Amino acid sequence: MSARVTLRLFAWVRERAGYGERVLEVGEGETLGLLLERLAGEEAVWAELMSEADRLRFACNGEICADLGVVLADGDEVAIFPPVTGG
Amino acid sequence: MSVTIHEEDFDPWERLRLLSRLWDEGRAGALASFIGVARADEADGVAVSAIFLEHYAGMTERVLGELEDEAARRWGLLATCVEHRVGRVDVGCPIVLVGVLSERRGDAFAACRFLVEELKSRAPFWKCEERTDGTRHWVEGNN
Repeated sequence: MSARVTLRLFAWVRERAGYGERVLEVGEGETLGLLLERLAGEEAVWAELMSEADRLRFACNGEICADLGVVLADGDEVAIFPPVTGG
Repeated sequence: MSVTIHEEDFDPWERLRLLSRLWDEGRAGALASFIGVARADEADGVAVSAIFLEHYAGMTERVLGELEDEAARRWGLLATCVEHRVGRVDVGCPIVLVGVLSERRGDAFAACRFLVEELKSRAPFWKCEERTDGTRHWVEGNN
């Protein structure tokens, strides 16, 4: 059974991708890392973005992900953005 | 404890006046504050005319609320406020205000610094410089 997650992008990641939000289907047990690998295999912009993964930060449901092993569930919100620069 | 995200310019002095009203209760002995302002920086020989701030609504408020809670636990504060602009901020206008009210100055200084530094490294805001030559540039690093 597939699940749907919302992908949110911010700052230059949003501009490079050309959108700020997108709903994606994910397979059962699919991790954030596997989802990003799949996107990079299917879309040139994601291949490019993931080649600079060290410049990206990841959050799942508003919590920073220390690694990409988090298993995605239906309704999750995944966010990808550069290191923060507020204040 | 209060967290406010402003989409328009805000008056940090008005917010500090609100915080200072708690002086009337007689327990407070110190108010420390930090105001961050959009600076007329020069980047690559071109002046910055404004800063555009983007944020991750929802996560921002939660992270800032957690920081206030942590500061209150560590330093036993009487009150705090954290205010942050989003959207286009002209040079010379406030971006961020942190205010801390406590019984003693040591706690007020330490908690104010903690809130500012943790906000800068953990709260999901991103700055984009708008330059006088019409170009835009996402800021990297956060000194």
